[in-house]
Amino acid sequence: MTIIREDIVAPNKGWMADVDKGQVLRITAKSVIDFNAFKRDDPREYFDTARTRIYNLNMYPSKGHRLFSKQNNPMMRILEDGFAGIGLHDLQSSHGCTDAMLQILSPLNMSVESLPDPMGLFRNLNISQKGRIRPAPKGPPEPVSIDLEAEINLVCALMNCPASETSAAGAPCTITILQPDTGDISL
Amino acid sequence: MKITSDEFVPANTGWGRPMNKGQVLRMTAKTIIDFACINLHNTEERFDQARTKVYNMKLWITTGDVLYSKLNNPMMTIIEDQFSGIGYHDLQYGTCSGPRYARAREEGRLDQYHHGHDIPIPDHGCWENLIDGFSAWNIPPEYIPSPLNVFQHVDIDTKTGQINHTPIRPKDPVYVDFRAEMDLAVAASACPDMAAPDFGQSIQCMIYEP
Repeated sequence: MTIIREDIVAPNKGWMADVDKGQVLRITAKSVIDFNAFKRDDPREYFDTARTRIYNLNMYPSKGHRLFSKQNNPMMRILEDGFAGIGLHDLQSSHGCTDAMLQILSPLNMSVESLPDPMGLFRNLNISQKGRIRPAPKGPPEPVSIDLEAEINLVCALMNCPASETSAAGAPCTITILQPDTGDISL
Repeated sequence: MKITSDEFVPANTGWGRPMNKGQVLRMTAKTIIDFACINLHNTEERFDQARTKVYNMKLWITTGDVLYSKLNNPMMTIIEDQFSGIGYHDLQYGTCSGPRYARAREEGRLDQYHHGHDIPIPDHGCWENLIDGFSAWNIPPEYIPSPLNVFQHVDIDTKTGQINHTPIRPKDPVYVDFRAEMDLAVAASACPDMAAPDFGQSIQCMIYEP
């Protein structure tokens, strides 16, 4: 795979870029990353946590799962997940850094009311069998990666979001967009 | 109590009404109701599953718990819950819909909605019904909130995260009372509920002054 673009994002900073169909977005981090995705042609079609949970019939996104839009269409597929065995990604919470995320999304004209809930990568909540939710930040000792393959042309956005109660200590994260090479076996 | 409205809502249709702060909405049913609310004076302020779970610090809400908006304001409080002891209301599912059933059929996954593959599927569901319920307020389909799924008892393994539907419903109709904490537009869908033993039934929506 060829690296199209690579960025380092500091704690409390955000990032937004186009990811084309077939490209892979690699997020390498040890703190919480709040992630959103929008259909590029129509940003009113957005990644939706409820649709995603029920399409995969699982609360915790992991390898092989697909990210779904509110309009019930596939947006991305999780190809690899280096957090597996360390902790669980989160599909229950809202944004911890709403204002900063809205700033990042300003080209899309997003209002606070319409900001979709994120996928909380590397967040790790402790959810008891009785349904009690407690933050249990569990950052990996070294940064780990999650690979997300775009199934349509997307705008992807994220916050490197080290809120003290819900995230491991803040640390820079690396965001890479990869283009599979001609001849690579299509996934 | 003074009843201000009391309506039957046929299976797989939607219902909506404005209600005032302090009034109580009683929803009575034996199958699933997809329910959502919006601020009557700022229709962009909507019920939010995630805020509700995080503020209450729980996956399942019942008597005493509060429904929150995306803007972090309390919208309703559950003041009585007759489903308690039978099952839990759900905050994981979005809405069923025509496109969702069609995709499930295409992917051979209808058994994730009901028990068996040969049952006719509806051409619409709770998404369309909630759009109807909110029609007086013109909520774009993509901003219909993911609902509180009343009487939808779901099995969740919180270790693995696995989610499974169940046919656990009230044997006879029971109700839940929600007190409005602000002036609201409320909407409910009598879910087609393909997982219930006798599928989705009509529901009753009553608003009263306590």
